[in-house]
Amino acid sequence: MILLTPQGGNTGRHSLPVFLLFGAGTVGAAILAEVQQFAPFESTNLPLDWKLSTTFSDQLTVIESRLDELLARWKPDGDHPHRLNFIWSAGAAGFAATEEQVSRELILYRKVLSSIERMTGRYPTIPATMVLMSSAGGLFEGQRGVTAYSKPQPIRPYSRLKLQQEQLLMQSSARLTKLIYRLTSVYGYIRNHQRRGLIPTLVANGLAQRVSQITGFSMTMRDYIWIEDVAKYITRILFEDPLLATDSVATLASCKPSSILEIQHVVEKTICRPLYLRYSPEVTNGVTMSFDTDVLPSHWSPSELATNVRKIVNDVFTHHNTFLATK
Amino acid sequence: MTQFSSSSHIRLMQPTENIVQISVVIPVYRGARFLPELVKALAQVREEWQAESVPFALCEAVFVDDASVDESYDILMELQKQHRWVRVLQLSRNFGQHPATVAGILHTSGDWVCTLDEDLQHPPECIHHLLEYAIEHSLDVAYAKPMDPVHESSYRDLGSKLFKSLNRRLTGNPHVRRFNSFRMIRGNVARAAAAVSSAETYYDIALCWFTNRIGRFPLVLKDRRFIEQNQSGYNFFGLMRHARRMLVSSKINGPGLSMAIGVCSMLGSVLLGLMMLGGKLFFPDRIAIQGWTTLYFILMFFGGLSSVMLGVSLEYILIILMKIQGQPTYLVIDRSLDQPLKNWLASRRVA
Repeated sequence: MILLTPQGGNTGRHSLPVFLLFGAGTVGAAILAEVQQFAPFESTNLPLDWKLSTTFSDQLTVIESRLDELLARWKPDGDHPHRLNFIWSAGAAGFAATEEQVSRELILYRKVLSSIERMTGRYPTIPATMVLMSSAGGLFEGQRGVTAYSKPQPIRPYSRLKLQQEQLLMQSSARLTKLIYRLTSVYGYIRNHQRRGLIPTLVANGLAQRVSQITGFSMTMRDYIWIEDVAKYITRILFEDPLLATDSVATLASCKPSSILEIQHVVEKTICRPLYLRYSPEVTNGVTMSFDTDVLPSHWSPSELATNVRKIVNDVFTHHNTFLATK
Repeated sequence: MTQFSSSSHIRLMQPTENIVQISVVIPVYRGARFLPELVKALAQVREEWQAESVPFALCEAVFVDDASVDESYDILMELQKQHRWVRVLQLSRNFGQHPATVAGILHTSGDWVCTLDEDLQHPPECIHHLLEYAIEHSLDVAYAKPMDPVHESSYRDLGSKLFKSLNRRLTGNPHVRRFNSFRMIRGNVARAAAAVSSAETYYDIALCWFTNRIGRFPLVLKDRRFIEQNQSGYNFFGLMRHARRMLVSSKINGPGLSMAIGVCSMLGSVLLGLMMLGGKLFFPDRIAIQGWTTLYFILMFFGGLSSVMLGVSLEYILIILMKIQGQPTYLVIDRSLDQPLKNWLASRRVA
């Protein structure tokens, strides 16, 4: 868990929020980077061990105490942070998670929600927001032309987890604005410690001339969104009060479905090398999905796939990533 | 942003699995005055299909504004507000009909993609004829075949016919004569061809890289804009660019011809050389002028060799060109979705 507090003494900090970021994976890390670009924030890592549920509650208590300390330091000035922003972008359970993994994660999520209820309850004068990163791919798996009126139809444990997380947040008694963002397939830069999606994997393996295993068909279509678009959009929302007035649920999608063949072609053209692909015979994730533009929130503007693939490739060469070394 | 309430989950408007989804793609350039009528016609088709409970549906109409110089974009935005199934893309500059079509196709998700012009020369009420023809004949692409001259202008219709005929002879592609911008394409094939198309690719040529199952369904098509006002989305230079794009995207037979001529020339020179050598050895008195046969032999042999090498070089260049144009090695396809529709068509015939 990462606690972000405004830097720079008291000057101007009252106009900035405090962030509590649960999960610094692909999405969380991008939001963290974007928030720190927006204004100077001090970042504190607080341990939250997702594997040990016994210590999990204790660790949450520590987080609550740290927030109390922070706000107590603020109080003598007769001031408080502009807002408390809780962001949930965590999750150990992936798309292929089992019922058991999902159940465990749901228990931890409930504990976090209870903790947030306690924290917001102790500071009723500070407005608060909770952002939940959900999964459009999970909720609408196998549906084409998903509209704002389409009903989520979870067909695997991971999808049910996401739907339950959404429902739990909306049912929560915590006094906060609840924002749910259903993300389609997110792709971002290649980072060694982060889970990679299809596109970064194809770029990485293409550059390293390794074989990529695909668990879909060449014609499987998905909706891909660029991580920086997501981070910029959510950061902007969290810094602008009028956009935080009401609870809402929105889908962040590009509304331009891309087949694996199309992505292969874009990546090959960008890296000027052929991709070596192996399509898995056990396809459990090969259904097509697409989204209608009416699901999109205002101010959301997704960027072009080809441009972003070029950004990924440039980033690889700029950061001299070690994965390029083939054995 | 959608307000969260219980009502947001009540209406179920997603396509059901048994319904074949059709996306329509319309590149738009200077077509402002036709657009409201076209959308009205498409809306009528949608409603009729829904009312008749046919197993196919028009799920979206993607209009691609190719930097029109009239008010097409504003009209399209207004139409998009009125119809949820209308989607509008605007290209940053005028790229041409084929790139605009490619852009539109890459934004579709239908099982079949139908492309048509914005000027009502392609009647939306005939879309289902193309689909049914494609399904019944197990095709991947069904083109509309104009039953009468489209432009009612002898030079325009004859010019188009002659160029297609020339291209067919040059490239050996039998499908060239079928090309028409009113087409029904299997979604996966349409998107695969669009995905590999580069700036210079003629989209129909790209389709031929993916399938040979191409047919034509006869329809009455009239270019109203050209007939009534002698106006066209294309001027003379536009048509020339169009023709050039088709030729550049095709693999012409030139290299093979060059190599064949070269080989014949070389073989001929060797035969001639042997004959002359025999003459020199056995009938030396018959050769009146010394040296010309050697010169003739050398010219023929090396001329032929140059021709062969030129053909080989051209072949290499064409291979590279085709690779750049995006010609694929293969495409895996699933046509299993056709069967329920085939059964429905058969049952309708019986009824």
